[in-house]
Amino acid sequence: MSLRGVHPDPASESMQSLPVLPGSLSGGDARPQVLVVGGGVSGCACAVTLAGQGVRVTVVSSALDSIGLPGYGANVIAAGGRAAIAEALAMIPPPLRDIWLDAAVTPDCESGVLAVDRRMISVETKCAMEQIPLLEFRQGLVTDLRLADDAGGGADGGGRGAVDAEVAVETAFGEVMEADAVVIAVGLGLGGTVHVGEDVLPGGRYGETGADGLRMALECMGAGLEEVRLEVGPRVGGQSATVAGSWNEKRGGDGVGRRLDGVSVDTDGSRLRSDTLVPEAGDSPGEVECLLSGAGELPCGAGEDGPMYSIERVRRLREVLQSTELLGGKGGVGRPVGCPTAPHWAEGLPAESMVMLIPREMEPTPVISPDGAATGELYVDPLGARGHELKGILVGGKVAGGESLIASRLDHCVTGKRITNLSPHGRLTLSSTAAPPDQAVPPDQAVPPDQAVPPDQAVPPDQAVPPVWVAGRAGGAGDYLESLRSGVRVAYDVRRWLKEIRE
Amino acid sequence: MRAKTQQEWTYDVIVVGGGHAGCEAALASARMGCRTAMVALHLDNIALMPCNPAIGGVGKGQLTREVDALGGEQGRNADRAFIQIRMLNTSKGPAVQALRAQADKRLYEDWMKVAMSRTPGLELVQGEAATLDVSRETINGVTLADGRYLRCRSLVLATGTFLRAKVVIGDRSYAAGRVGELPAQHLSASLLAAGLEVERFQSATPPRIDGATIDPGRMVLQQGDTVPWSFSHWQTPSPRRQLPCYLTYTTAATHEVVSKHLHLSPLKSGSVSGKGPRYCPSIDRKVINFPDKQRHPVFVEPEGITTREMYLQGLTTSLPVFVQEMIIHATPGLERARLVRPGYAVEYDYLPPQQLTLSLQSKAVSGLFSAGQINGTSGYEEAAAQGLMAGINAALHARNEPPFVLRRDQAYIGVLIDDLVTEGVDEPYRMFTSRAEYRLLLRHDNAAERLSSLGHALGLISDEQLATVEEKQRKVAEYTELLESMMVRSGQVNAEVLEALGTPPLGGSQPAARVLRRPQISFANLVELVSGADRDRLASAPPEVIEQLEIQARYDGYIRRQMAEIRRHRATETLLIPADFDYRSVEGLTFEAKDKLARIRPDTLGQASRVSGVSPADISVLLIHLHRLLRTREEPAPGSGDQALRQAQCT
Repeated sequence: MSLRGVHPDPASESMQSLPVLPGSLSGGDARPQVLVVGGGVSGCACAVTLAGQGVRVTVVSSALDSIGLPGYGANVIAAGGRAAIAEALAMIPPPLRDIWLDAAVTPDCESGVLAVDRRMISVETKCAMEQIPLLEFRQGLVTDLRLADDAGGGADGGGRGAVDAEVAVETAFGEVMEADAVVIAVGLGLGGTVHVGEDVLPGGRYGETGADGLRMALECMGAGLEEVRLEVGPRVGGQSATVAGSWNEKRGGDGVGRRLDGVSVDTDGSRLRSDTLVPEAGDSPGEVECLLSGAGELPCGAGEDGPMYSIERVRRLREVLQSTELLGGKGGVGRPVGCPTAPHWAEGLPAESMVMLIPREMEPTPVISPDGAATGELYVDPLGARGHELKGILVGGKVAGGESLIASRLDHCVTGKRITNLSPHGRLTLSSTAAPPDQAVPPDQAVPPDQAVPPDQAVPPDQAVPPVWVAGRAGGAGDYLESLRSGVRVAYDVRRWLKEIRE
Repeated sequence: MRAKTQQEWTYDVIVVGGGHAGCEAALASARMGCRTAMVALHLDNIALMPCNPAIGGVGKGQLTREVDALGGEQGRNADRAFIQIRMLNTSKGPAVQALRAQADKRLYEDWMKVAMSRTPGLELVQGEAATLDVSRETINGVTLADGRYLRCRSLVLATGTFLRAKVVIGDRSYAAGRVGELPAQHLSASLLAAGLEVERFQSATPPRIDGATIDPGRMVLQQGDTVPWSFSHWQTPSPRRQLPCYLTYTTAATHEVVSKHLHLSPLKSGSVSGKGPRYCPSIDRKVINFPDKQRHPVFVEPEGITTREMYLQGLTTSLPVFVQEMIIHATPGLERARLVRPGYAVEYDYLPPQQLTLSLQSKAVSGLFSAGQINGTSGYEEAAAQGLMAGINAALHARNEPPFVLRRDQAYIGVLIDDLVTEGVDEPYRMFTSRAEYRLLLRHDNAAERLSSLGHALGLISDEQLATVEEKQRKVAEYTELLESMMVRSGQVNAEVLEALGTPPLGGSQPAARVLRRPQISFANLVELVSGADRDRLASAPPEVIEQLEIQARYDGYIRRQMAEIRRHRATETLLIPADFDYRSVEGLTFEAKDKLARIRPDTLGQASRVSGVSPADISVLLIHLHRLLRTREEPAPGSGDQALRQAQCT
């Protein structure tokens, strides 16, 4: 099926002749080269990496108010402890890396558990990504994915050069968006269901609409799907249950989450640089530098009198806003190093409302961390406890009514589908030549980009390899760090492919 | 039916919904000492501003001030989060002046969440309220979809647009409470089962664009005021730099795009069945209804300090996305604007508010209250006002105390609720100053004087807060007296000053109060007209006192007239009608009046007089009948529900 004429955009004809190669970037109206469907942890990592490499990218998400949100709890857990966390964060481009580091609420991640302020990550991520010139957001619930039948391309003329395939997505509101490539980063939204107590809800994240249309489209295309399950821990109200747990015992004064191995603070203290990021082979140093320094500082406003936004501007605004206390003061841009890190809502609470939470069967000790400066909740990691089995144990006084605490959010289980037939770089491979699920390489075990075989040797012929990539949990990532890494890895592959088809 | 093993929790008050109504209700109830749970579908989405990230405006700003004067949170929260603030209508009289602020919507949410998290006795529970437990026309609790059972004495419904909601663009729609969020699918059936009437309404939101892609040179810059305004009476917001808004207008080209594609509008295709707000019409409707109008204003407003997204007030539409882009691009200054969020419509269930008493309690189910969009209103301010009142009354009900009702001459809140429960709604209700017959008394500037003592009696206003209000009142009285006794001389110097102000010289020495009554003379002018100790005393008057003195001087006659009118009507206005009153047995009432009154069952004779179809003659008949009834029957005992309305004194 041809996509021509589906989208009645009056500008589409002129767009087809626009030069879209990196280095000759055009104005704001151009069609994106890549659509990233989903704006969670992996989608943002992917989009930021792509845009940082000169690729025009649009993030399509139905949840623009929770862009970048770590949706499944406050804890980043890495088996390798501090080093593993540092290594993963070192791989992602600076605006995001800074945000994750700034949002850390535990200074000590030796144990491999790093608690982050989810809300802050989301707000800061959206803010930082809006500054990136080639990156755009569009609200929309993607319900369909279409491949052009003239894949192999160039036949339509119009001066688009060697674009060998076309792909488009359609939203629930009937909007059709075209691009050279699509990255699916919808988390567990593909056929996702959320099991909360006796309730079963659709969706890949609690309370949000799922991506069922997209699952059907992928199934029709012949993508292999495999069910994934994820346990999300409960939250308890922090005010009645301020916790004396491991997270605040070890709180020290060493600059709150800033000292991660492999990542060092620049001399001016404003930028973090990575020593461990491996530049992609074949890229010029300039392009690597682009990735390293990020686009966060680039102003992209309308001029002196109009709104001009930059991280600097936001920082200045925050300084004059009383509200600085909440977002700026607690972390993120402009946070003073070493400031008190108790959650904002817990400041000044009387000691008698302090409660220690333990699971009914004393073992193992749950990992409890504040869910964010503003949320008023504590996240109880499912590794240690299940919500309705928690009991309040008095420390200094009484729990209201002496009754068992009600979980502010029940622990819940999310099941969704991951796509199995992916190349090591996360590209969708169809037909019989696709690797069977058991041989598919999970992204976290995939070879680093610089050692990877070029796509044309690794994957079957074009018709079986649509320009569709899968990042994050939908591609098999198992946690936030894997999602971040997979987003970056997919971005590299998409970028390489775009470059190739133009040469 | 609940399973026996089901775990349950017990509260005095449960609030269902975490929007602007739900937050106020939960805070008020908890602050009044009731153990309170707020059940919300998603605890990451508390106090969201899904439409315009602004608080206040004419009529609405007064509501926010009143909420604040009674101890509510909206004003304080707006002060913490605003990024631009302006006093509207400064060239007009004090009755129609009002504050309006643009808020950073993220900060607004965060601060509300912090306020709630710090309130003792308030628990936030994430879950979908699925089934109300109602027996013998009384609420007992609610079962969540996850299976948890929460017991309560009172329950406040503040579900916003979420009941069986769907979002709509063009001919496409899907089930969602807001784009991307799951709706509440279960509760409506439970409301119907409890005997409540449920109907459909529709609302809509305009597109958002990337603020970096607008052309400010083609639009009118609108800066905030430099005056340190605040919504709240109780704290002074810190000074801050403000973000600008822009004003542009649609053109013939914009209207042509709309007209050309009207067949794609849900209004035409019939994919929206609920009625939408007439006072906040979509651009589609404006083009249909006002074909001769050359242009409509479009305000381009920032959504926060951490986002470039801007809100297009005036371009609400649910036309297909490509048409939305064409509409935007046909508007000056927005030619290159990049669409970020398409506008859309949302359709949802609401409870026609004539099913409520003046305390916002359901007539059908004791202990069940409702507030906000579920009552057929629109707007964050209308929602907060109802939320506060429903929360207060839910708490009072839980404590077996008589309800708290504000009269139409006391507050816009009184006007709002009286309008809703008496006249009902045929479209989403929005507050205007024109709805208040005593708007010269219900001013933005005197909300605390009108209401804070009532808030104090409820336990929502502290002794210290009340003391600041009383101190101001004392000062105003002191200066009022002073102005009566202070004389302004008719000397040469004064004559010159007066002439320069465009007003004739004094015919002899006059009391300062009388001079200030001249419309050309401000308090600052008056200071110039006196000398010595008098001048020093006047010059030391605090600004908020000066404001009151000027208003008093200028509008004294009108205010007195309105006060007299209120006194004249009060006897009939507040005369209670027994809940079991049999209208059909009253001879002399028209058939229409009998029918309507029996259905609406007004609490007071005043409310009865505002029921459409009830004539002054009907009210006279009722008055005679009620007096006769009162003589034969004992006064209803205080505390017997809505029959004994707490009649607060108007000062």
